[in-house]
Amino acid sequence: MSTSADEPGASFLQEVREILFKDLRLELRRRYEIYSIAIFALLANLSFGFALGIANPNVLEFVPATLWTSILFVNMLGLTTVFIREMDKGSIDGLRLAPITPQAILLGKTAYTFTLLGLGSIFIVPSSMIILNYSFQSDPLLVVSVLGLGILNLAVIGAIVSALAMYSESKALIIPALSLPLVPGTLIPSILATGKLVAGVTIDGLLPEIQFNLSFLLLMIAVLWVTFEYVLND
Amino acid sequence: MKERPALAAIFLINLVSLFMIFIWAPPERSLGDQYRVFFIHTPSAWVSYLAFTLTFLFSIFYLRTRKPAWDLYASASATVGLLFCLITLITGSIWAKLAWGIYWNWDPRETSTLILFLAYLAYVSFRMSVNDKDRRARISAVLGILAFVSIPLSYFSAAFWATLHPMPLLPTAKLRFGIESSMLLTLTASTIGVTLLFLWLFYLTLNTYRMAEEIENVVLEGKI
Repeated sequence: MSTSADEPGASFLQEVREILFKDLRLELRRRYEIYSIAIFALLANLSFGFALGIANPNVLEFVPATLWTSILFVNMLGLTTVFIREMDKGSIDGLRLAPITPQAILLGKTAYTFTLLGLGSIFIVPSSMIILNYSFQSDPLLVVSVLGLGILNLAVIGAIVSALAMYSESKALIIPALSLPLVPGTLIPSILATGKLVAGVTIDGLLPEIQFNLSFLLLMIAVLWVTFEYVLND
Repeated sequence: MKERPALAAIFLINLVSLFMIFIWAPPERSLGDQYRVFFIHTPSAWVSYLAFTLTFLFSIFYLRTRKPAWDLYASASATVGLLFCLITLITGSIWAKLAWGIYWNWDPRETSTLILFLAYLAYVSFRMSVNDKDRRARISAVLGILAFVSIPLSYFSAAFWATLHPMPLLPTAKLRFGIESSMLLTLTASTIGVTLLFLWLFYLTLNTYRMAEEIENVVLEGKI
């Protein structure tokens, strides 16, 4: 099957789009994973509800942490297999031989992880709001932007960790260990920002967290831009 | 046996620094003798940062040159750095208990040191889980760079919380430090001693890794 990325002079964004659509097409054939994410989201939020006690008057203090813990676990358990799957099926060699730059492959995989994690959050966030009985007081657009930025950072981490883990004999088992040093850099500001969103803080009050998460994203992209070809090219 | 004079010198310097730490340095005004853990904590922290910086630099050198020696240096430095980072965490917790009454207070420096420890623990675990030598070296080099870059991020993210940790010992405008000169001298001696100990352990670890690699090569060639 010929794709636009095969054509000479295909732009970088076209290459990214081809990788993203290829993975999304594959994902649609394996819809059970999306259902599993939804069930996991529900289960995680129910567990937090049981652990904290719904009638607990201080439950609002724990809401941001429980929400991001659910998102993080969905990212680690479900979506960091993006590269591992290519390795297991042997299609990683096809990716290496394709006329696509390693950076476009990484960005395509990140976009795919971000899409799935975003879809997962459509289950995670409302079920958390219903089960733990809270709502966001800030502007809805601000809520989506702030949560989206945190999720994008987790998607970048998920894609690179999966790329590193595909060479390990322990595969998925090494993912939490590899994620750990990278995750706090975005998780802590995201949790703090979510607490402010629940309290109804405006954009001015959220600037430190947004700036930090943006810096994190730019730094990660810069480092991976330079190093990722060493990860992919065997 | 050419290492013996160096080993004797390291032993002697550490003996002198131990004497200074436990006998020569005066007790601190508020914490008394309990503060002496500081003379082990600070040099260990410095050495672990040094070790991980070396791992970062050796990883870059490996990716640029693809010489296996740089990979061995990076690995040895990370392994020994882990040991000193663990000492930093343990002595830091003791210090926190003495000074603030709790072993762990989620202070940014405490938290980022724990993340640093876990990052290089992951680095070492990852190396163990990859069999192919070239792959292991290449991917570990990328991981060595990523782990190092993540440390300031972890620190600054944790710094959103209020800090209880004392400020670093930076000289004031008149080039005076915030501690007595005898304490500063003891700190300098223990830092030199611990740094030399690190270099010695780095050398030993490197030799062990080289020997392990030679044995592996002999086994692979079917000579055993």
